[in-house]
Amino acid sequence: MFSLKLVRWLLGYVRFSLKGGNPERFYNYCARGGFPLWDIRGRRQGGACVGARSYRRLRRYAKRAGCRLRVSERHGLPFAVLHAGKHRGIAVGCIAFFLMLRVLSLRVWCVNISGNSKIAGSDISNALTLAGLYPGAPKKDITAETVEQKTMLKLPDIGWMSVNMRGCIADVSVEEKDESPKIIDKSMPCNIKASASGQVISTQVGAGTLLVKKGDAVVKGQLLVSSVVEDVFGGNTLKHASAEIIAETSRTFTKEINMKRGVREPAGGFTVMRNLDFFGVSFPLTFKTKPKGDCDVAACRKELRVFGNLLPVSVYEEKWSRMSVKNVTLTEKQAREEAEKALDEAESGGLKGVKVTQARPSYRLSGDKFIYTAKLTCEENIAEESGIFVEG
Amino acid sequence: MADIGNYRRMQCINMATHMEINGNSEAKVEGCRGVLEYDDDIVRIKTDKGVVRFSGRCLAIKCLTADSLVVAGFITCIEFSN
Repeated sequence: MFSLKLVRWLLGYVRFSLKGGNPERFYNYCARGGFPLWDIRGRRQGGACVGARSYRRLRRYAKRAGCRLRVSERHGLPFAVLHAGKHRGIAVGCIAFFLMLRVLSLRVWCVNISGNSKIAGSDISNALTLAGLYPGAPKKDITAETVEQKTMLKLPDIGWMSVNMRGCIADVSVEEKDESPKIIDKSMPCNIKASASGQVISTQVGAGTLLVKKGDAVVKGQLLVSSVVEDVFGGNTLKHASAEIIAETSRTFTKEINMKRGVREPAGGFTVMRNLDFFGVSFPLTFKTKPKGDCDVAACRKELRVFGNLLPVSVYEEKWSRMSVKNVTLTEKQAREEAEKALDEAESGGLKGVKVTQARPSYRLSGDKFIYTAKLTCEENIAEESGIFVEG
Repeated sequence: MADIGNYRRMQCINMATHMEINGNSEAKVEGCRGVLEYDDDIVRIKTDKGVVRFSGRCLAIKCLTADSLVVAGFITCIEFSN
């Protein structure tokens, strides 16, 4: 009954009064004509309710029955909107709000990914999209288990993942796989040899027979720890030797820097392109095209959050700056600073595990090239396993 | 005797007409052919094979379509005639 009243109210209806003629005949004409009436009043009062759209068509029946119709009351949404007058926008806005609320609540608003460090969020997002989970996807089509399985098949580096729907927000938690440690086969005998030339500073032997002592000079490839261990009875056994031999070594770092070079600089002028992303669908806000020639692009996405929750509305902005190449000549100071920066990077990157105790830099100019050379005194573990072949 | 007479009349009026009476306050009639008379104390409707007359007080037709209607009010009597 409520749904019937609601439909009537949404479509609008009028109550009319009926005067003169034969009301019963009029009611029968209406009923046979396919215009249902309700709340029909008796002969004395005369009148009924009918759908707003049907009212005009009842006039011919009234004429045939000799009655006169007059609208006495108007009800329903169309009349409410019509009578809103200057504030019609408010009524339309309210209707649009409730409709949108109803429609949008059936879809995924945003996907929050957490727990990833090595795998890029965009990769996970793409895999989730292929699995059917993306902003704007119908919630009824999403099965957490299926999405998890499909995503993990796409990304084998994920060890575990969980998809939880929190209203219209999908929380995706991932756990990346840990790299399995390198398995050392300790059953195979091996020696320890020097990986670099230097002077031994300290020794620490786990297994095997130490052949050098503190202060000894060693050359690359020299046997440091033997796998042959002699027991108290004079017998020999072969062991998997392990040791840490710290030695002072020398290294040379060389960096060539071109003094004359082309440097890209902003040439002035830029083009900004913006897109409005709504439920994964992009709507261009600017109609500019990418500038021709050499350009740099900087992109950023402004996301809208309410109470910490990501909304499915974001603005993607690309700033295209025109660039030009300018020939510059570096000063010696600039070249040296660049070379020193490269040395610092090498120490933190390529020379990992090596402690640089002293650096003696020198540089020279060769034509347009600045050659920077640094002689480094380092402390490092020079122990290197060297397998031995045992017959039988 | 009067009840038996009414029963026989109902049987002979029309098998296609279906009537549902809710206490003495509401009657739903399916298979009606039109309203013959309508007032606060009398509602007379035509069916395929006869006429049904509802008597009472404050009677009103709640809903009327091509083949059905709902009579509401304080129904005191229902009569069937050919």
